[in-house]
Amino acid sequence: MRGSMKIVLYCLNILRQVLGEGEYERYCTHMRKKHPGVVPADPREFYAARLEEKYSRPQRCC
Amino acid sequence: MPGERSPGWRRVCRILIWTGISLMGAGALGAIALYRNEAINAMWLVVAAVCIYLIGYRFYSKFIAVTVLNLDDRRATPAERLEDGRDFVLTNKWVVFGHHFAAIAGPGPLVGPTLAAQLGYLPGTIWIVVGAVLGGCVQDFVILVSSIRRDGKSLGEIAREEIGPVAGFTALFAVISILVILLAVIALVVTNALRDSPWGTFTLAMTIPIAMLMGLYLRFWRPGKVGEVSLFGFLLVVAAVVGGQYVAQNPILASFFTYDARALALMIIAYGFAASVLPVWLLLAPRDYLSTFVKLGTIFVLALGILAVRPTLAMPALSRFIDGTGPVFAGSIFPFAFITVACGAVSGFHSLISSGTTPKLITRESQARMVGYGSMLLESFVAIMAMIAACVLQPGVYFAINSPPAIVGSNPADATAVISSWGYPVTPAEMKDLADLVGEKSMYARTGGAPSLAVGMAHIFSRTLGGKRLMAIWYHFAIMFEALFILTLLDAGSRVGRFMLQDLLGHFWKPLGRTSWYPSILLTGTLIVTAWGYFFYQGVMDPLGGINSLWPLFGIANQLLAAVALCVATSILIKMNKARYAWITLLPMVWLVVVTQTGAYQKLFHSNPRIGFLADARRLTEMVDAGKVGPESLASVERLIFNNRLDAVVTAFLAILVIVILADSAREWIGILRGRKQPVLHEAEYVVSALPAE
Repeated sequence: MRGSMKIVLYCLNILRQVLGEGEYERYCTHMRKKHPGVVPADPREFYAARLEEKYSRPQRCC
Repeated sequence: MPGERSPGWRRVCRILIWTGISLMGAGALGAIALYRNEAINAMWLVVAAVCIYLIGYRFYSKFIAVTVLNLDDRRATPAERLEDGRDFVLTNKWVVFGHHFAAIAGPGPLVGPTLAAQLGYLPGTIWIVVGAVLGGCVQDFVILVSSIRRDGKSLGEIAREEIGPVAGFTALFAVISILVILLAVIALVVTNALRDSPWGTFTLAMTIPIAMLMGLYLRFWRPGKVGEVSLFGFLLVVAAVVGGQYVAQNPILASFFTYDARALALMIIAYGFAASVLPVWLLLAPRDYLSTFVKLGTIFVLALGILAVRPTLAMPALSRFIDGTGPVFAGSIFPFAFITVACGAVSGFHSLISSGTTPKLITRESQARMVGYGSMLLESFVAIMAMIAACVLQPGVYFAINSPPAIVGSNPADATAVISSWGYPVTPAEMKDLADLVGEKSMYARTGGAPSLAVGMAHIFSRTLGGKRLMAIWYHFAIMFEALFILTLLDAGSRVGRFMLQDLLGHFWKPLGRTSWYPSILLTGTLIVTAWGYFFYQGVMDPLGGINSLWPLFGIANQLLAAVALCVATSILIKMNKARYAWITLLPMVWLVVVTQTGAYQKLFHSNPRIGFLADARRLTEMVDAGKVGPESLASVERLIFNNRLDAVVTAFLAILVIVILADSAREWIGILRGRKQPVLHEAEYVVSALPAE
């Protein structure tokens, strides 16, 4: 029972990431690791800019 | 040691399992192909398809991965080398898989097989499975790997570097033309589903404020919490589907949401304009989350539904329309079955995704096999499910929904009489019952595939859950599911088309290429929306229903793009010194070139006016010349003549573009194979991965 619960939670977590959740956290991790001196953009700015970028390329297909 | 078996024993087990799968697949396929005059169960299709997918994945994709492409996990991928926390990110392979699958799976694999069902289930099913395993999956996989080894470059850039500037430029041009036709035809599909349907129109209209609410929530309240907001959005959409019933039953409310095709078309075009200038976070992105969420969920539930119900296929294996006289689309089994199925077997458009976002997320080269080849197998399976959903309907009902009035007549008695005379009995009473059951006024002539697919899905769902009482809800849920991602594709496509056009026009005049320059945005945005809007509106006004001319045009365009992608892939294999394996992409390419060029030739020059654009223009011109057209319809007939000629020009243009690319590539291949030219690959340099081995 606990095993199947684990699988369901894992799948839900994958689905959340597929939709694009957690991108800001990943970006912050990257900034901390590679550019320690730079202050990262705040989440609102980050997502607004990120979406403009994302949807300027083929994202969805027939 | 007890419990642990020797490697030899494991090997025997493996061989036995794979022999079993092969025999089961061959048996199921044989049964499908040989059963005649007897209804078969849909499970035969599922078993045959799944066994062939397993064998294709286990053996063929492994052969391509190991022997042909030499996938190498020690080689660092762009996600590792160029990691920037935004585009290039090392990502869990299941997330990449889901991401890629959600990107490639659109309305194509649902609509194409539904239309191809007019030939019977056999031709479409065989092509969906064989085309995917040997063609579509190979294309997606090889292009994905090629892009991974080139820092995630796009198909156009790869074509320019590996073949030449002519091919690169032509590919970009072909992509924009195909995008325009794609957007026009899917807009037509959604219009036919929503016309005179207050329920469906209300539900889809509600998705706009719901998406905006989600957008505002994400922008100002909980940035990035996409999972929870998608769940809320989904619940609201379900409420809209249920609420639509009350809107449809209330005469005053219903009148606000009841439109004919022409009015809907104008609204959809206006929506396209608006959506392409609104900020992405407000409408496009949140609706995309919603549509992805609904799409993945519905596909999963449909698979469960088919397994639970195990429906019998009412459609014969081969219908009488393999001779090319079918009402849904005209044209014989070759080449039109292959063109009509489209994305479920091979889709050129996937090569844009495989050379877009996905290659920037992959952690190790070997994962490209699962993501590239595997996702396309799943998409092919979606197409099989759509084929099943279309074929569980009684053929008479299927044809009544999908035949345009110009062929079967516009009143119920005529239409059912004509369809019954074909040998597919259906009565006006049956169609009335069906309309009542799904909560529509009429189900006649709802061409485009989406409504008949929705009826098939509702049929399967309601037998699992809810029975006839819930049939109407399931039908409108299925319509919403299709309309939702068609609308998302319309605005996302218009936006991407705008950027591509800016890129293209920037070659002629630099300022037009500046993506943030407002006049350029306005000009290119208007051009794109006007272009698809024109073809779309022409389709709405077409007495034959528009699908008959636009879907084959889309199919030809999409398969031509696949031929281009496979041509690029072949060039790369030859340059990798793998010319002896180049057949893996060369054979599907040759097949697609033969199919599309035959299709294009027939669409241009066939003497049957329902197939040949020019023959139809000639027929109409003769009618005008003979004075058979009254003054009141002269303008519309002249417009039809013009549109036929325009379609002919577009078809010829696309066919020629592909010949240009093929000729340019063949010159390059021959040069290399004869040793006159040095094969120079434009791969990124080999960097050893610093990631720990798995």
